Amino acid sequence: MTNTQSPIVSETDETLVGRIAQSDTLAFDEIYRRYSNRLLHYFYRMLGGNESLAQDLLQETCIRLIEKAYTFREDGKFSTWLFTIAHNLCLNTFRANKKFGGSVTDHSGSDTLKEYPAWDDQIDHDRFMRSLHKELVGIDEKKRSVFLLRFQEHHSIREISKIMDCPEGTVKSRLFHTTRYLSGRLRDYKEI
Amino acid sequence: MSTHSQKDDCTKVQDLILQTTEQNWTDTDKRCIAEHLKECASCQYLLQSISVFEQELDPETHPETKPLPHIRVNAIRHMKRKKNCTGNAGILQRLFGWKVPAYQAAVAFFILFVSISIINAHKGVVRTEGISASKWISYRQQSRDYEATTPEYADSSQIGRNVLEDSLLFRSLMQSDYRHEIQKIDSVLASGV
Repeated sequence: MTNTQSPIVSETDETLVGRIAQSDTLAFDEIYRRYSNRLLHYFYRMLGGNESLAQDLLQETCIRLIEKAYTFREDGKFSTWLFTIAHNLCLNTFRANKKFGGSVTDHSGSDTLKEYPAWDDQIDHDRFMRSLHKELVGIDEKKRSVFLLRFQEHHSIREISKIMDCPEGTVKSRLFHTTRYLSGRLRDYKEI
Repeated sequence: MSTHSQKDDCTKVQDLILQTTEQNWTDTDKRCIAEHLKECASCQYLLQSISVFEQELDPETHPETKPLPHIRVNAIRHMKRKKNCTGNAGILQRLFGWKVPAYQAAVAFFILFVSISIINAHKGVVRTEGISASKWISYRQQSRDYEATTPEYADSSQIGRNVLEDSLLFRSLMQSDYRHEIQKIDSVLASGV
């Protein structure tokens, strides 16, 4: 049995980024293959479904990755570093274009879990995703980012606090309230 | 008392559910969560919600949104351009964000050097044919000074003035190699021939 896989596929992200710092295009290709789709979806959801802007930010992230690869410390986690770049790009975009930074009413007081329906196994994905996007756009971008980094990217609370440069307690609080709020808002989909 | 205990359990279970994924739960965590979920519909619903969110937000389940092909191409092109920035230009680029690769800067300096050389050479040709404008003015001034300080010369004809002017110019051009001849000319001029 011969191993047909390229050796680069088995290399860690941290090793690859070191090679990107030395302008290794193969290493960049591999990192791009691993992260481009995830980054695009993160941007897409953070920007309320604006795909063209999400593609632009993905391009900008790639350029920053190439430019700043030499600043990456090997003792850190690459995905945390990469999503820090992505998160900061999103914040810059929000600052530049306020239309994406929807104001959020405080949902913490409303008890959205008065009824506790079970989720239907056959959720209409399109409708659910449309509604989820709509609800995500309506909440504060920091809460939105915490939510996506946790449930889309599966980062730990500690990693999210590093990415967003805020205390872990703040991340926990944002995550809890956003999850409760969204699960309450989307509970109607049990009947679909 | 029991309500208080239930609330504590909820906080603990919600922390576990929100902070870590199921793969990271210990056996004790799993047992604790399972027992709590039997009694707490709120936490059960939260856990179900999270699993739906994780499933629905997974990028792999939405293949319709894909990165555009040109993004990768542009990034690779950018990387190759960066790779060409070697030596001092590379350092300058890192420090100041300069985008000019070393070889382009070298070509630009070479073109500038050649242009300046050509201009100087052209000026040199003019100088060998006659004399530069500034020196011409200077010699003419010398001629006028001579005219002013020599009263008998003031009455001389224009031809005479030109002869003097030309002799001054000739002297300046030949000064280095024909010093003796110039001295002879000076003596001839002094004798008024």
